[in-house]
Amino acid sequence: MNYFSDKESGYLSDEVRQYFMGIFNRQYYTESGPLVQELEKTLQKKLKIRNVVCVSNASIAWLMLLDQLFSKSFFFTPQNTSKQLKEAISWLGFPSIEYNKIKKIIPVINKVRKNGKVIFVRNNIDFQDSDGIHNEIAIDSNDTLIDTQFSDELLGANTRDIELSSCGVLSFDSFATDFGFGACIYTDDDDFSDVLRCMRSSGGIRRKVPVKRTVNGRMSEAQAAFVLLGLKKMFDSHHASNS
Amino acid sequence: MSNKINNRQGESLAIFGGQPLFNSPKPTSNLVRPDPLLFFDYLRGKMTRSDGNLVEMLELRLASMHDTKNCVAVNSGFWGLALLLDALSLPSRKEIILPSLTYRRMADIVSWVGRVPHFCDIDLKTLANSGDTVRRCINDNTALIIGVHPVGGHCDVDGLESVAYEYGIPVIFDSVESVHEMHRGKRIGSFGVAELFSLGASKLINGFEGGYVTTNDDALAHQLRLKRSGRGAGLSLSVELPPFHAAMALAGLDDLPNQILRNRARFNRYAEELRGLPGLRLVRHSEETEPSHKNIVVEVLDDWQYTRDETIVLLNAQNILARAYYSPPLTHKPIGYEFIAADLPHTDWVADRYISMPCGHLVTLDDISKIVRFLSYLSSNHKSIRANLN
Repeated sequence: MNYFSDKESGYLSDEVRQYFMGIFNRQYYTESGPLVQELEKTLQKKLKIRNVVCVSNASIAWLMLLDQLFSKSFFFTPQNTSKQLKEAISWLGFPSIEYNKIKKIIPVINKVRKNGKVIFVRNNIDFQDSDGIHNEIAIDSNDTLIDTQFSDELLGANTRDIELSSCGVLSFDSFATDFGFGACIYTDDDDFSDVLRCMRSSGGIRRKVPVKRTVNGRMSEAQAAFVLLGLKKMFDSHHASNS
Repeated sequence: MSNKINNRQGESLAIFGGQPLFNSPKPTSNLVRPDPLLFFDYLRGKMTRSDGNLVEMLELRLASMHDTKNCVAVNSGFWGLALLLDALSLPSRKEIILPSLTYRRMADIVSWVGRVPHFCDIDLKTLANSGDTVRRCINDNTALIIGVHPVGGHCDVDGLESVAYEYGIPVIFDSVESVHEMHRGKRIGSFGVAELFSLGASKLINGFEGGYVTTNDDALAHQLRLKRSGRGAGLSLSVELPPFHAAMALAGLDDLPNQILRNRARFNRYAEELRGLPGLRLVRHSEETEPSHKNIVVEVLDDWQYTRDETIVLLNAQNILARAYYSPPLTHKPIGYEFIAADLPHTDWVADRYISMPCGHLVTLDDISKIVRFLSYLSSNHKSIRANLN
């Protein structure tokens, strides 16, 4: 039986019902609604980062991020990189190499660095893996490091002892939720955050800025409801195991 | 700010600092609220097939409603159209023909699939593109034609299909605003190679967010299913519809006949109230096409005392959130990528003549009467109001 519902028994938790009755009573269904805003604020606080922009899913989040930041860049991604990031790289036609052990491809990296921008993608494995980026390669100041897929434990930590990169995508599919649909792009750069919001939808814009092209990246209130419920469950579980 | 202009109650107009006519906004968006109990029933699986799931159930019902063999649901109309354009565009050709007077992101979608938007003009009668307007744009680089049904009524389906057939170019229909309508006795949904619809909250069927493609082409349907899970050839992206969005759409489908009746009542109230008001023409559609009346549009005629945009400013100040119809046209906005547009005289002429009026779930019949009475007041007092506007 799932935490929030069970098809066989017809169970649907009171928490789910309450969230949805709130949505129906407010009659605010999407376009940066109150639950989406609450989710963004919760994650900003937890990740200790200035801006979180919630998006309908990780594939679209990656498309937005990559389209805005990078052109003619070369991506180096660990072998277990998310499917959604690979989809975005493929969609935009960026060259990329997947590696198992990064030290084996250092000559390739150095060659690419001479010709263009290098993007390293770091995922939650890298925080623990001794073969990962931090231990094997010096990130050049011209390189870019982006994060993907934090582990659940990181979000449960009381302090952020991992240095986040300048931006990245957190997929909610990695949470222990029943219906983990959605993602967010996080960044400490306020101007870039404005670009993402203007790209995503016409709601939740703080400052209107020109963007090359927009998407439908809206997270619905229903999605935000389930992610908030999942986060609460995860935080409660961490609290219980720490006490 | 001047408070010399008063309504009958002696209060100043909201645009001049007075209280708005409505305490809460009266929007043009549908925002239909489902029966919560129905929604919860779907969500907890009570009404699903034993071997199926909510998304599959929704697809079957929509395919049946549109009288097509296949329906492929996705997380939004935007990405549904993107996948469709990629699947069907003729290879080695770059241009996709679409109208300029349309959904503000449609050209962006063309750009996302690596093609070039080629804007065509519209037909003045339908406010949509037609076989004739598209024909002028066809060349050896045309990859695909998008026929776009306007807000209310539908485009020249036969003309567009005929031109597409003549030139061997695929035609699809963006039918987001014609979910319920009929053409030649058939529900919109089975024309062209495929049709695209939206399940956004402002649309006829509110699924929070979502979209779907209908087609009688089994191979295309299969290709789209692969693409939407990130596994298809060409461009593909994980854009499946979340099951709880399907649950919302299913609850909305159950209520659709009643919703149409409510929409019709709102339309009839506008018709009744606007009858005696010169200068504004309610756009009507043949009842043979079974219009959903989800959208209500008026044309600002030459004898109306304000411009279209002035009228909207005056209305919006009263919390009457009327909107300019597809304004500005896409070719009137900055575009950050390659595009092609010749002269579009009909588009330019229509660009500042039509208003989408408040309707949908949050607008009552009494609200409509009040709105039209306010328009009448604007008309009767135009000299003094205009003097203060200037």
